Amino acid sequence: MPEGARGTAPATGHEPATGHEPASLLAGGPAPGPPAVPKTFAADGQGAIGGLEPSGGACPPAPKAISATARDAIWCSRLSKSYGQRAALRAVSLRIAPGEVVGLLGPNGAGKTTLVKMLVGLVRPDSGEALVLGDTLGRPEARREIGYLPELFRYQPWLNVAEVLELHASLRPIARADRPSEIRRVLALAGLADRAPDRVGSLSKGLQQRLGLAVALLGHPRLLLLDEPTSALDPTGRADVRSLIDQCRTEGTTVLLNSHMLSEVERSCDRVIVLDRGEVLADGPLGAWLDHDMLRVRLDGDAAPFVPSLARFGEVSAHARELTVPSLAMSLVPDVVATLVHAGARVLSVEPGQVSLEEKLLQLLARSHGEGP
Amino acid sequence: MTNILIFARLTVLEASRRKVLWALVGLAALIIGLSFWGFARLPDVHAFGTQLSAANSHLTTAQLLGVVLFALSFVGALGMSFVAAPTLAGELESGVALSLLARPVRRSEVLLGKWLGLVGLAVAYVVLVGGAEIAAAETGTGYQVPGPVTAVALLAAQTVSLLSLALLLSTLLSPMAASVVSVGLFGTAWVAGLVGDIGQTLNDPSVAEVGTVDHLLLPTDGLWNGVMNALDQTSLVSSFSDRLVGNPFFQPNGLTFAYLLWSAAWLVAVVVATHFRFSRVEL
Repeated sequence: MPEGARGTAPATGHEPATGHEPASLLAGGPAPGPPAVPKTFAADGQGAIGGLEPSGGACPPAPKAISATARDAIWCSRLSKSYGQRAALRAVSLRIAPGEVVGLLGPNGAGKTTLVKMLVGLVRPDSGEALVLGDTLGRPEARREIGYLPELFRYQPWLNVAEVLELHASLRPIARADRPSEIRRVLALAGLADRAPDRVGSLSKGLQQRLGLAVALLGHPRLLLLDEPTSALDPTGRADVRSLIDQCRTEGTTVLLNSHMLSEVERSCDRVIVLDRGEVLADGPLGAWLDHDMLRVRLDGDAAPFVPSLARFGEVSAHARELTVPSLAMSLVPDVVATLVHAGARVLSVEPGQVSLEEKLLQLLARSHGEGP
Repeated sequence: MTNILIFARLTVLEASRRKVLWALVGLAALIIGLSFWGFARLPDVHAFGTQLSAANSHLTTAQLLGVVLFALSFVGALGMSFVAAPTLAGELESGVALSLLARPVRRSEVLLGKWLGLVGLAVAYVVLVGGAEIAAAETGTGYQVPGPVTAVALLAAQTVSLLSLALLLSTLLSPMAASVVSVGLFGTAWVAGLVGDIGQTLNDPSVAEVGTVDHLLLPTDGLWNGVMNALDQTSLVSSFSDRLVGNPFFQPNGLTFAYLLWSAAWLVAVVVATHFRFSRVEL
């Protein structure tokens, strides 16, 4: 953030729940300290999307502020940002505990990158407060312990790989005597050990992304902000990133992973935060998203007409010839099949399984956009 | 302070790696070489069958030196504008700034470092090239430039003014637009200065006012006038002033202290404005 943009340390207390909080998905919550955001759950185990439910009034109430604790790696309260008429972030409040690996999800334009840039001071909030590693947002000192891999970035093409790392090591700053060993360490971690003398301009996009990771990992940052870290990587590179994130978790580094690669988030993260149209749509442990039984039923014909007949089993969705019944106890599978057959459906296959992150996210977004059940 | 020096060094390194530095040095070497050759031949030049008088030879040397230094200052201005403009705008546009500004550095440190690096390059170029040109004139023709240090210092100040303006523009415009606009303004200021000189020659105050306003808005041409004055010996000024009035490479009047102060204030204001603007740029 441009210097001097915002400088007050937060001291807000808990405020009354407004019914406009993001959905939390598991009791107890992942963040330490007082559970500032009330946890709400639907009976079916899915997060109730409090903020998306009709509030009953013409104007939905503002999202509530949350109070900071000294232990928070990231604490944001009512961060808002607009570009002209378009709101990029709308009163975003969240907290991330030290050592958490959190996936930041959402469709394009949801405000994810704006939020990450705000955390490293590249974008100034219009309103709201935030602390990063206990330091006020925007202060250069707050960035000392942050490793950041931007989504769209370049390094100076006229420098070589080792020089880029030397530059960032000197800015971090890392003591001159420690730099060579630290540079060797991150080069090895990023799989660039033999690329130190190569000019950045001569590297492929994937190798430049690896360099970005190496730069972000310099000096063992306490907080790692990764914005689409694998978008240009091959499968080996993606696996390397996953193992890097695992290593960070082991070392107690807090990681905020902004990615559209949901399989990556599924494998790496402890918790997910979903942003949509600048608002926190859901926030909770990943397990709460994935540990739901569900049933896929393939029919011999269009599935949509049979959705009403399964209404008593909860939210059922139809895509072409497939019906999906989320959150279904396995003991009810024969009842579902019997109901369908009774309704005249020809059942080709029945596949019990778990809701994938992608399915869950799509459901959530569809509901948020008023398209889902 | 360490971060400022890191960015200053990076700026010089970039100019070197991108071969801008070498292009400037190459062009300067070419012009200096030709100047040595030309100035050395000047005493042997015959005009209408007779050898030039010492006074005429000195006048020609002073005039040629002005022309050559103007050409070099133009090369310098062009070069520094094209180096200065992309140094901020290019990094903001390309994404290089994203990772740098996410480090624990202040934007003022980035800006001052880059500005210092550019100033270092500009001053080194002007001192090297200006000094060599003056030496070439003295060696070839025996013409003693009355104020070589003043001339080189004002030439450096002119270049620093322009690169600072280019840096300011690079926080407002794209790299290419910032370069084009700063070079365009440099040329416009020079032409406006000429218009002012013509106004003075014709004794038309309203036209002469153009030059005054021009020198206040962008002091590059005003400082250039100081360079011209520092190149001309007093004897030349008194002997030929009536014949050289309105000549763009002849300036009988030196710069006032007030104008030098104004130029310094202008420079500070531009750097402060650049910082104000750069500190508010969002990436």
